[in-house]
Amino acid sequence: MSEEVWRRLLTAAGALFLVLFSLAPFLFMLLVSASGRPDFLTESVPFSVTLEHYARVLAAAELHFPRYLLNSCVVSLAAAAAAVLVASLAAYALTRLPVPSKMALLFGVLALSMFPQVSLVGHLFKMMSALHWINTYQALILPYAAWVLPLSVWIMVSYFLQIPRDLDRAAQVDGCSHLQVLARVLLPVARPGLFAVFLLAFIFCFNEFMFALMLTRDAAARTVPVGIALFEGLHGETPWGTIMAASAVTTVPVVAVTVAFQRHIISGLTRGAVKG
Amino acid sequence: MRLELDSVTKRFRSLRGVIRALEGIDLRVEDGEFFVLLGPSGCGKSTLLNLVAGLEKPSEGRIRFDDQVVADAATQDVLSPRQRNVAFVFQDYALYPHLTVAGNLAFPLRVAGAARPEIDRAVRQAAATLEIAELLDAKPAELSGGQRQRVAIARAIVRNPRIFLMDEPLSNLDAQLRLAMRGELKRLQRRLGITTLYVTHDQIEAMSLGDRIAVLRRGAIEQIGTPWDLYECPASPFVARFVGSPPMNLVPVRLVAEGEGLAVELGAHRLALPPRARAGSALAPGDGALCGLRPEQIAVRRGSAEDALPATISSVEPMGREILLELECEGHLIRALSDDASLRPGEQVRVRLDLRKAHLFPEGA
Ligand SMILES: Nc1ncnc2c1ncn2[C@@H]1O[C@H](COP(=O)(O)OP(=O)(O)OP(=O)(O)O)[C@@H](O)[C@H]1O
Ligand SMILES: [Mg+2]
Repeated sequence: MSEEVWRRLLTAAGALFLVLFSLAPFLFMLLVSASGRPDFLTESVPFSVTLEHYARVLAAAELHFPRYLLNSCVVSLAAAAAAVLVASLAAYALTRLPVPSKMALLFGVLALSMFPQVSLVGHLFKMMSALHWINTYQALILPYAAWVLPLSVWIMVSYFLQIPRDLDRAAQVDGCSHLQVLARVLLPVARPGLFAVFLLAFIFCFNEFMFALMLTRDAAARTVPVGIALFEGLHGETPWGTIMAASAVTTVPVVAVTVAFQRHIISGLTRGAVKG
Repeated sequence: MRLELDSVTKRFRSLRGVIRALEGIDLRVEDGEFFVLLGPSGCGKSTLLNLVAGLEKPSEGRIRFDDQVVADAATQDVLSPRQRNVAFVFQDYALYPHLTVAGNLAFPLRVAGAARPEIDRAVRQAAATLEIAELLDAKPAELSGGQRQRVAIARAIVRNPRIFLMDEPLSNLDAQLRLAMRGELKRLQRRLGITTLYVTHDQIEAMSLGDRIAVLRRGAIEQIGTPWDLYECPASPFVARFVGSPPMNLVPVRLVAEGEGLAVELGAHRLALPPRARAGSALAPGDGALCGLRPEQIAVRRGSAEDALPATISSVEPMGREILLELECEGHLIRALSDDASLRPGEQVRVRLDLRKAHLFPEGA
């Protein structure tokens, strides 16, 4: 066989391995969620297909799963939107306005993001209790927004720095105020960055566990990761089938948001690559 | 609109310390004038435009549009760019990449809140003027450099600005296109009659476009005048070197008395100075001076004429109609133009200096 054929074969094999390696847990999740006997691997029982777990997750009132999903979506969308909004304003100020000691500010923001969550959660709990916000959406939205903000600011700053200054000078001469420059020129031009930040923030918030565990009490505000972790079987055993079905359903909004946004992110990336 | 700058100074505070970008600029641009700011890189041309546009505030001095004060450092009254209604054309065009050409042209009008039909009419008219009507649906990334330039100019004229500010708008174009756009820009400005402040570091562009030119050097105005003034009566060796191509020769000489008048001493040679060359200069015998001679005022001949200086040709550069010679003469390098295509490097020749149009600058100027 020629070298070319070998090269292709190896490339294909490598790609296949990578895909399988990263998708394996996901596939296993789907498999378990649809199997009649989730313990099919340990005991030599025949594998059977069922949608019972899905039905239970979506319909059983005592699981509150649809409510968890709604909570997660609301909290994550609100926190991501707030983070994007604040990060855009901050990035505009840091890249375009005469703010003193910008570098110190930027690194301060970065330093703040390095606090481990555990060190914050106790204080957050006290604060939210004092505000009587425990088990409300805002108890999660505010800390989430603050938590993803450093990363959001850094990404937005790096995008804004790539936009030539003459573009906002042109906008100013064309009659824009600072806010109009941001809204009409910088944000549209940095749209890929905007979507990337939104997506990242959304996924971070959607996956977050510890804050949600501490700051919510029941289905009124509990999010999916906590909800799933607290599922219990009838006899106290771990209900793998239900957990996996719930996890599978949970990926749907994340995948949906990603697919909806990736077109914008990718088109932005390729447009940046071709000079012009 | 008439533009006036009263002793405008601009300082920047940066990590490098305080930078004096502009120093005591006095300038008056008449209504409808095409005024060019000419100077080398870093002399403060863009800073001056930014001050007029309102993108920067003066550190000292006052800027007036007709009788309206738009910026006054003393009272800190500074109108924002949107209050000034100026149009700016940038070197890299600064088109909005996310908008189509039509969107770019409409942008200033939309921001100003104009009505839809009015916007459409103005956009179509500007597009027709710059002959870009068929590009209206394209995005800037799809356009060639020349087309982008046209769009940028169209965006500038779309809303009847009080003044055009142009910062090296042609410097990203290739030589041919630059020539074509130059003529077109000049005609357009004539037709619209809008006061224009145009920045360039290219003296040929400045000479061909400007009604008047201000030469800037290190943040200060070196000379203001018509292209002809600058060429015929440069106020300083800097202007003399900067304006004209190939540049003027500046030869250090010593002045001596000769009869009634003066003569210049160049090495062992003594050349009488016609009265005209001395007009207006306060030079006296014994002074050192820089003698400015344009290459076309130096005649190169073979053979021996007794009032000509011996020289050696060090390089020959054909320029089309004429030939640019570099000559070694009395220890100085001088450039001359000739139409004798048979001259070769290394050849011994005689040069005759036509001192009637020589410019004398005091030594150390
Ligand atoms: N925002 C700024 N902060 C600090 N220094 C500045 C700033 N803008 C300009 N300068 C300085 O002011 C001086 C004049 O700059 P300016 O941009 O006006 O030059 P220019 O004549 O336009 O040059 P070029 O032909 O290269 O564009 C330079 O020394 C520059 O470093
Ligand atoms: Mg400049």
